[in-house]
Amino acid sequence: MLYNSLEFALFLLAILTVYYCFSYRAQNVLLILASYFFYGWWDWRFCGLLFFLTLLNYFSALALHSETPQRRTYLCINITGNLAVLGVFKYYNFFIESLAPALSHLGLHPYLPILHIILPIGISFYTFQMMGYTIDVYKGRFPAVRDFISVAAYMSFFPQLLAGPIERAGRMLPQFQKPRSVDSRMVSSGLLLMLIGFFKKIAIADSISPEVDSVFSHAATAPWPELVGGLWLYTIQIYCDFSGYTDIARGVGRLLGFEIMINFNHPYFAANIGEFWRRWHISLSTWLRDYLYIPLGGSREGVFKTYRNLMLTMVLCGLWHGANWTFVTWGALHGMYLCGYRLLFGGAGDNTSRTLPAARAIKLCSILLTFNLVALAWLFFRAPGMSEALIYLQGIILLRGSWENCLFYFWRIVFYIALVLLIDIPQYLHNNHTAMLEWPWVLRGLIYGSMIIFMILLASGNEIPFIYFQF
Amino acid sequence: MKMPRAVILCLCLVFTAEMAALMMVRTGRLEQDKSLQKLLADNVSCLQQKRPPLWLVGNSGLEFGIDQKQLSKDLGLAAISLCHGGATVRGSAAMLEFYLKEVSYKPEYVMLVVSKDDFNPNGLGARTSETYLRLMPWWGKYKKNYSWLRSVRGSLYYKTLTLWSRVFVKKEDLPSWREKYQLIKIDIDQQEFTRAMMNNYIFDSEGLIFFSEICRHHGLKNPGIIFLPITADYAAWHNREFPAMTYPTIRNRLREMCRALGITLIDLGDPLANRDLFRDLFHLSPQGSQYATGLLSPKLSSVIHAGRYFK
Repeated sequence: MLYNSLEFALFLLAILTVYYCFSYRAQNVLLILASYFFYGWWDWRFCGLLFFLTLLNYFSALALHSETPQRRTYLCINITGNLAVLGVFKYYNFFIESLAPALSHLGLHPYLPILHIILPIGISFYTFQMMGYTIDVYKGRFPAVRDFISVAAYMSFFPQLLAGPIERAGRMLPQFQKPRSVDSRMVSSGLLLMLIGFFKKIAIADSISPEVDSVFSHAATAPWPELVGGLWLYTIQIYCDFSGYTDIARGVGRLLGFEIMINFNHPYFAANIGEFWRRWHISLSTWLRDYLYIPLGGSREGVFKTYRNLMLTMVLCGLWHGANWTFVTWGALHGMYLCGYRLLFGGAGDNTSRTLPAARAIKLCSILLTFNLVALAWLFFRAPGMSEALIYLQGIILLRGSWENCLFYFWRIVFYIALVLLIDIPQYLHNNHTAMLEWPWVLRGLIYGSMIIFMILLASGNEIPFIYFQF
Repeated sequence: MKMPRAVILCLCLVFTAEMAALMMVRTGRLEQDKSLQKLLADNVSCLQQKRPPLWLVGNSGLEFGIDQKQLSKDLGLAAISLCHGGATVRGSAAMLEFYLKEVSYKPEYVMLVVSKDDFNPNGLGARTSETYLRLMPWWGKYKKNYSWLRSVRGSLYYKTLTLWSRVFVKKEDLPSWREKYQLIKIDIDQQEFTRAMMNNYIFDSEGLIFFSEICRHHGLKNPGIIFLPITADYAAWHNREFPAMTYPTIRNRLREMCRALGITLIDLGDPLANRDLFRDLFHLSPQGSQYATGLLSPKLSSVIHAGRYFK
C-alpha cells in the first residue's frame, strides 16, 4: 500500500473516521491493528517478524530496566537477536556471495547455501528504532514501559514504519502514553505537510524517475553533459522522494495527534559536508552518532581514532542502506568527505558573517561544492553495480561526447530545481516547514491550487514506490 | 478559519484549469493525448455508433498488417480493427470480452489477428496483456477521463515547448528539435524487443481455448483466426533458438488446435523473404499491409459468403 495510492487514501479515511471517537488507549489498539494491516498488505508473513521483534524488544527492555547483574548479558542477547534478524534477511546472501569468490581464490570451495527469502520492507528502519529503545533503557536514558499496547503501537506505528524517521523512544513513546489532542491547527498543518510531500513525490520525484532511469541505462554511450545532468536529477529525485515520504508521514502523524520528528532540514542548502549530515536523514545520522560513533570513542581519543570512527560509522551507514558494494562505497566516500573536511577545517562550523557580500558568495560556492560532492556520491548509490558506476564516472571524467543537443536537458534540470526551491526557500528562510500557513489566504490558495495542477500535469502514469522502501 | 478560504480558492483554481482545458479541447486548440483510456473510449464509441458486423481484434501486428478500409471495400461489409499494443491471444480475447460487455450488440464475425509470438505466455506481450486481462471482469471498468487537464498534457507540453524553443532554437531546426523532445519518447532496441517477445517460447494452447470459450459464452458463431506472416530471417532465427518448437511446428499446432476447437483459420503465415514488406522482423510495412490484405480478402470473402463461417 503506497502513500500515493487510492488504497492508502481509503485506508487513512477509514481510520480517521473512527479514530477520534475513541479514548487514547483504544486509539493505540486501533493503531496497532491498522499498522499490522498496513504492513501485512505487502506480505502478511512480515507481520509475524514485526510481532516477534516487538516481543523481543519489549521483554528485553523490561529485563534491562531491573537492577539485575545480568543486564549486560540481556543487552547482548537483545542486540544479537535484532542484528541476527537483520543479518539473515538483509545481509546473509551479500556476505555469502562476497565470501565465495574470496575463498575460491584460496583454493577452498565450501558449500555456502544461498537463502531464497524476500527482504521484509522497512526492516532496517524498525529494527534500528527498536534497538534504540532497548539501548536507551540500558543506558538509563528512558525507563522501560510496562504497557505492552503502547510499546507495540510505538514499534509498529504505520506512518513511519516503512521508511522512518527512526524515532527515539524518549520523544515518541510518551506520546502513546497520554491522551492526544488534535486541534484545527494540527489538522491544517498536517494536511499542508501531506500536500507538500505528495507534491515532492508525484510532481518532482516521479516525473524525474524515467529521465534518470534512461540516463543510467545508457551510461556507456551518453554524452557527459547528460551524465552530469542525470546525476543532478537523481540528486533532486532522491531528496524529493525521501523527504516527500517524511512530510507525508509527519502529516499523517499530525492528523492522528502525533508529532513526528523532522528528518530533512533542507540538506542541499548545507555549506559543508558536516552540515549536510546534520540536515539529511537526521534520524539515522543522529542514531549512528549516538549509538555507534560516540560509543566508539567519537572525537575524544585522538586524531587517528576520530578518523577511524568517522570512516567506520559512514561505511556502516552505507551498509545499512543495502547489501551491496555500491552502498559501501557511497558510505566510504561520505566518510572520506567528512575526514577531509575535518582535516582541512577542523570540523568548525560556518562562522562567516551573512551580511558581507563576499562571505555570501563564498557560502554560495560552498553550497554548490557540497551539492556536487553529494551528487557524486549518489552515483554509487544509484548505480546497479560497481562496474556500471565506474563506467558512468569514466564518461564524466573523460568528457565523452559533446554539448550538442544538451541545452534543453539543462532547462529541464533548471525547471525541477526551481520547483524544489519554490518549496524549500520559504521553509528555509522561516525555519519552519509549515511557514506557508502564516501567509495571506489568497496567496496560499493560489499556491495550493498550483501545486495540485502541477501534480495533475507531471504525475507519472504508474504508482512508483518510494526509493527508501527497499531499505 | 483561514484554511477553508484558501482551500476554496485552491479548488476554484483547479476547477478553472479543468474547464479551460475542456474548452480548449472543444475548440480544437488542444488535443487529448493518446492513452489506453482514450483508445478504449474511442473504440467503444465507434462500435456503438457504426455497429460494424466484422470485428478484427489484435495488436500492433493488426494495426500495421491489415488495411481495414481496403478489407471493408473488398468484402462489402463494415469492419473495425480493435488493436491493443502487445496483446497476446489471451489478451486479445480479454479485450473482446471487454467490448462485448461495453456495447449493446454482438458482431456477426469476429477474427483474431495474430502472429507466432502472440501465443507465447512467457514473452513481453504476456506482461502487457496483464493490463487487458484486468479489464475483463465485470468490475474491470476502464478509467474514464478523470481530468481534462491531465488528458491534454502532451498537447500542452508541446505548445510550451514550441513557445520556449523559439527563444533559443533556429526556426528551421524547430521540427527536428520538437521531435527529439516529445513528451513520450519510446526508445526501442529492436533486437532486444524481439528477443523479449519470444522469450522462453512455448505455444499457449490455453489462450486459444480461452478465446473459444468467450465466443461460445457470448453466442458468437464460429470465430476465426488470421495468422500473419513474419520475415524469413525471423522464422530462421526462431527455428535456431527453439528447435523443439520451430515455426512450422507452431503453424501445425495452430492448425490442429483450430480444427479441434472449431475455429476458422486463415493462415497467411508463410515466411516472406522480401524485407520491403516489413518495418522490422514481424510488423508489415504499408506495402506489406497491401499485400497481406490482398491475400486475406478473397479467403475471408469465400469463408463468409460460402456460408461456411456459420454452421
